[in-house]
Amino acid sequence: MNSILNSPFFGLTLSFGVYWLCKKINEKTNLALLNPLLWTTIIIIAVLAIFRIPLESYNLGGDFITMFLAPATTVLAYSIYRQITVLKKNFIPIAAGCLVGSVTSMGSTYLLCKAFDLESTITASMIPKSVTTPIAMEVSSSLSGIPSITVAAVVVTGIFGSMACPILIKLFRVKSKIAAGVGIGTCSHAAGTSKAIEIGEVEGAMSGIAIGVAGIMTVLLSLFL
Amino acid sequence: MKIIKQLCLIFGMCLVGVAISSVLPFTFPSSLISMLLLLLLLITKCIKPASIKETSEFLLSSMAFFFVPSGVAIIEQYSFLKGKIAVLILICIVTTILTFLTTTFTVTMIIKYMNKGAKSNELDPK
Repeated sequence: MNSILNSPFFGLTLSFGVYWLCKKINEKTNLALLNPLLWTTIIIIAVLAIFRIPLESYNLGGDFITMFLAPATTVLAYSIYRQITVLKKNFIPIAAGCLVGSVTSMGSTYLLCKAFDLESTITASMIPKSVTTPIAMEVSSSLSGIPSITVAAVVVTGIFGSMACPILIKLFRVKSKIAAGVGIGTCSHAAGTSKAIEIGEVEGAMSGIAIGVAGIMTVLLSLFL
Repeated sequence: MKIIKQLCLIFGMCLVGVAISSVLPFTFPSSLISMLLLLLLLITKCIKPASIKETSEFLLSSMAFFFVPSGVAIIEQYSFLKGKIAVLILICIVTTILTFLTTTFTVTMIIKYMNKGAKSNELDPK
């Protein structure tokens, strides 16, 4: 048993297998609530908890998967390049949207944390949660938050965004593909972008741009806090 | 062979991103540096889109999957956050909706305003 848990193939098989299953069910049912990322995470947490498997064993394989986030973020350049004329023509609205979105995200998070009377370290950890993990961690520690809590909040935000954004687009009748894409990227970084890519090519590219622009805005805004 | 060449190029970009990020006087994520750099190389035609196409499309379409281990790692924070989890999730949900709405509203309004301006001045008829 131990030899299985000490092999990276344990985490890899578990992740690929559960995700494949969840994706299959999601495609069959087409329900936003059966989001594959959300359910894969829940099922794997349950498996680790039930069989008392330490996170370190899972991470032997999990770390390989996480490593692919960097190349996946890098090749967002490919999807942005394919939409470069849209970007050039709409640079001002995109940048303005990211700025307004970043202010909203940081401001509303701060106010809600205060309203619920949370400790200042938790508030500081929550403020940058809408941007991509590495930027969020930096901002969090510069505001004297706890980076690992920030990572958790970033992931929860991302999973929720990837589930809710398609519904919000329909509910509020967002007609502009550019606006929808920038909105997704600004509120829920790369996890939301993974959904935006599925919605459409323009949405995916705009969401990819928004990750970068909103990330930079958040760093700059945090200097004033 | 094709995929190996493409992976080499993309991993190489990531490596350059890490190198640049480590010498910058301020912190900026290496993956965003490599993204901007790759975009620059594509715009300046130093790299042809065809030479990264298949691997890029695979990585982009599987992006959600790469977040799974980060999500699972939340269990490490469980003991610290116990009792506050519902409130924190609620905050994440409310602020994400607000952020999405203000962002899309701003972008939509400015695009509308710019199109109107362009039409009345007849600078950019399209």
